[in-house]
Amino acid sequence: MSTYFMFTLKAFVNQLAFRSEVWLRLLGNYFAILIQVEIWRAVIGNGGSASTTVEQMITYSILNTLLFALLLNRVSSKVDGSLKSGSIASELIKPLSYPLYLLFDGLGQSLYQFIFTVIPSLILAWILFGMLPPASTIHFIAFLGALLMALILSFLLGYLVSLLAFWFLSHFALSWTLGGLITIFSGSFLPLWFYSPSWAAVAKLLPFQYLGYVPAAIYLGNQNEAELWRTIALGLIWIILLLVVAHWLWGKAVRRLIVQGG
Amino acid sequence: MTLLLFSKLVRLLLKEKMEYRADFVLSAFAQIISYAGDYIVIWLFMKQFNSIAGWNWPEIALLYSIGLFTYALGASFSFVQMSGLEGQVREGTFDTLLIKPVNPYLYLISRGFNLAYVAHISISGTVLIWAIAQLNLQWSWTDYVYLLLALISGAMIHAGLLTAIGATTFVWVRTGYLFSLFFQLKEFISYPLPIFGTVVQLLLTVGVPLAFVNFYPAAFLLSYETSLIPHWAKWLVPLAGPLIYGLGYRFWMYGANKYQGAGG
Repeated sequence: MSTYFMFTLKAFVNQLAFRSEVWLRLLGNYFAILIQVEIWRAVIGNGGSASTTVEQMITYSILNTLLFALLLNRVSSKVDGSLKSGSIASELIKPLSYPLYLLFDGLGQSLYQFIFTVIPSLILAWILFGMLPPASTIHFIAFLGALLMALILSFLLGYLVSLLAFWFLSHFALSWTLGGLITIFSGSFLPLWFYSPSWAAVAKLLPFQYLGYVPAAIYLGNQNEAELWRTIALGLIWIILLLVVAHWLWGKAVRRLIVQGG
Repeated sequence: MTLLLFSKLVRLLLKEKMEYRADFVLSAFAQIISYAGDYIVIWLFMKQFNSIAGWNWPEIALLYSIGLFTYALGASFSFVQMSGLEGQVREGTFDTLLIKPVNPYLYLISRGFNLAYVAHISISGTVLIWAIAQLNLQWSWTDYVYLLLALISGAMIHAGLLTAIGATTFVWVRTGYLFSLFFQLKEFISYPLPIFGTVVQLLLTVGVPLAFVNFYPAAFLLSYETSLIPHWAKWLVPLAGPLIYGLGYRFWMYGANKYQGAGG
């Protein structure tokens, strides 16, 4: 296991070379949050809507913008690069698990983002826009759990796309499709409680909601305890399901591997 | 001469792309799904709140579509070329471009002319036409001419800004994050400008003049108030494109002339 943690460390140290971009990233996050804050002020600013206050929506927007920086969404482009350059062949003969290597490498990047982007952005956003505290201790603990699930699910989805790329020979189309599905069903901009009932019903069955809506909604206490358990259970089912599919596809993909270049 | 060269390079490019025809079609299809996702989320948002800053759903669809359409048009001549410059400068392959007996800028943009934007153009064009029909506007022919000019100008604004960012490669080499910042700024113009504070409105009008891409033209066409630009200046707005593109080009050529190599 310590080998894999070394990959995390290595990815982290690699990212350190780009420290100068921290200010630009902060500015980028500030813009992203500002846009959402102004939108929510414009539509629910005065008086507020029946169920949601502007403060809640500001907190929701901050959480989602920062969560996005943490997600492991570079997996498929990394594998694609190895497939196209042919270096996948030498990576596969190493005595280690390739998917675990990808996971820990991705975690290293997330760790870097957490320290150098998320924490400073969080402080900045808290000062400039104000943030609500978590609804309760239980909700905060559940929120941390939901974050972990978001990381795992984002990895698994990206990994599945990269495995399918063994057949498609390019991850481009699949990644864009996945991105579109995440935009529609994650609720990372518009919370699912604002979706029309039929769209919300579909979104609440799919795994994409864990990449946006679920952690923020739990943080805000928008889910009571019964709902909370149901959400977590469904998330676990999705994780297991995607793991099984990924494992099965992996076996097939390795045998199908076509190295295009090198 | 250059036009002939351009068409020849594009034909070469077309051949190259059609080697991977299935991939090209699949990719275009996937991009349409992705942008449909953006439209769906805005539609769901508008369904819930009915209007934002007084703009209803077809009006927002019009605003967003002009933004996406002009981006695609402008970016096909600039984005991939300018973001790829980083690798070329670092590896030193950019130098080979400078010894060709053609304008390096024209060569770079035509060789990299990106056909993949057909996806963006088809979805945003379709929604744009739908929105105009839906709004049941009593437009005279001058309004249609104005829209056309605005589309051309908007494309030139995008291309000009992306070209200017590309030019910074000659100094800083690593520019990837400036492009991300550009895309984040572009998010602002998906919504009517008045929802933002004065600072942002000024920034998008004077600093990074993205508001000229879609907000000002759409506001004039839909007869909305624009606090920063008086109504008599309506026909000056489409001049922003040529101006910004010209400046971007001059800046790029200036950078290319100063270019010393990155030591690769």
